[in-house]
Amino acid sequence: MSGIEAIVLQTRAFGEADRVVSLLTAAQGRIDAVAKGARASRRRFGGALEPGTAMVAELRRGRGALPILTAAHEVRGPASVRDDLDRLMYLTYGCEVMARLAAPEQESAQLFRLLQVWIELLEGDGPVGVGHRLAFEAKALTFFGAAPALRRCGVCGRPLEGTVRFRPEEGGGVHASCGEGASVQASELALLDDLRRTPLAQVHTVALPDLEPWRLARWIEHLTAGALKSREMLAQLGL
Amino acid sequence: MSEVDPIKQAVQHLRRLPGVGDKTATRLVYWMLRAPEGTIPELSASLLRLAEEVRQCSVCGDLTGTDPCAMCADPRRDDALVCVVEHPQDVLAFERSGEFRGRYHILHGAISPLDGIGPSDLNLRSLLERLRGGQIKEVIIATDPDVEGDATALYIGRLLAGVDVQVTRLAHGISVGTEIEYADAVSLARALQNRRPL
Repeated sequence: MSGIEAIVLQTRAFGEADRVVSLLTAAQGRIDAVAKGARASRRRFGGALEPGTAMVAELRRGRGALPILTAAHEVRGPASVRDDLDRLMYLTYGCEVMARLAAPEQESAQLFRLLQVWIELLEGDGPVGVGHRLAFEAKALTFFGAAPALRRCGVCGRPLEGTVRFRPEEGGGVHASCGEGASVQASELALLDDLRRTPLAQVHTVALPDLEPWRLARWIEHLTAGALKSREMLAQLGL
Repeated sequence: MSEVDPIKQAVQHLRRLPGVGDKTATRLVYWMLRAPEGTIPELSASLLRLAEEVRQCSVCGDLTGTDPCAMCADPRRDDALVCVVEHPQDVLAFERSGEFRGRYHILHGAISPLDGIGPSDLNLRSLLERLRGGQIKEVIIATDPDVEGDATALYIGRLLAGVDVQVTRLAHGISVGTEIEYADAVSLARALQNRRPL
């Protein structure tokens, strides 16, 4: 497992001296690997284990269940993102979403590319806001293979119009006569679908009326059975 | 009488300490058993004092046996400068440098969205209270140069945007003594961004 292009999603302490680093790769999905000595000293990996850092990872099988990250080459860490609180929060959120959705040993080229584009967007000079986050979430869900029904009823398949219901258990938007869930305007779901289909760099061209900002995040939480920890901070900052 | 063997019990407790495994814990217990009379009671008493007397300083948040702490009570220190750090141990690091004669403020952590740690979990309210006094002219943010430290620094910068005080952050870059050839790319990029005229 040498020379794998990867993006760091997050790390956690592992024993006294080591860290477990979650990497997103195109060919093998999420790889959790042990970075030996990464807690005890920053000399070996430097800033290479920060969320959003792209690298070519050298991995080898260890005696434990997890592979060992032996080296990180061609390290490219997010730079300008780290000078902007909002963008930094969007970066950590994007990494957490990917850590949740990307499965181990499963080809994840589309999720990998989406995260690359997300980081490029955050590193750029253009505006980034709630619409971009919603578009990112919608695309991530689609590439994960769990896109919610947004234009057609998740139960009967007929077009959604007027006031409808929205519920993960029903597959997304449904007619009131087809299922239960929170009331929502079909136009709002259609707008989410527009965002899903719009390239991230062009999202600012989509007009955003009042939207429930966490509808898709909650969908991700439902699918992955747990709250997204970084969501609270985003909410506090109005992101 | 306790049914648990006291040696085993002591080993189990010592094993909880950072960096202490089974062997080290056992070695420490047998060292204490062979130590001069009074060693164990004195050690026990000092540990009990930690639990009973050490509190957070009501001014800076440092861990101390007196309130305010010795650093906050020292009249020779510069009231106009406050250095904001993540952990009490960071204060010791600055003091070792001998370069800083201002005051400190300890956050007791850093914003870490991926761990669910937000601003309300940090010792920030008392920092704002200190700034209301008007004596502080500069706040030096000395959080770690990682994503959590960056997020914390940026948040504090935003929090203090409306306050009449200069907010600065420690310079980042390659460590003294490092050979550039071996510096990691991220640190080198930071060093380039933070370069200064000669």
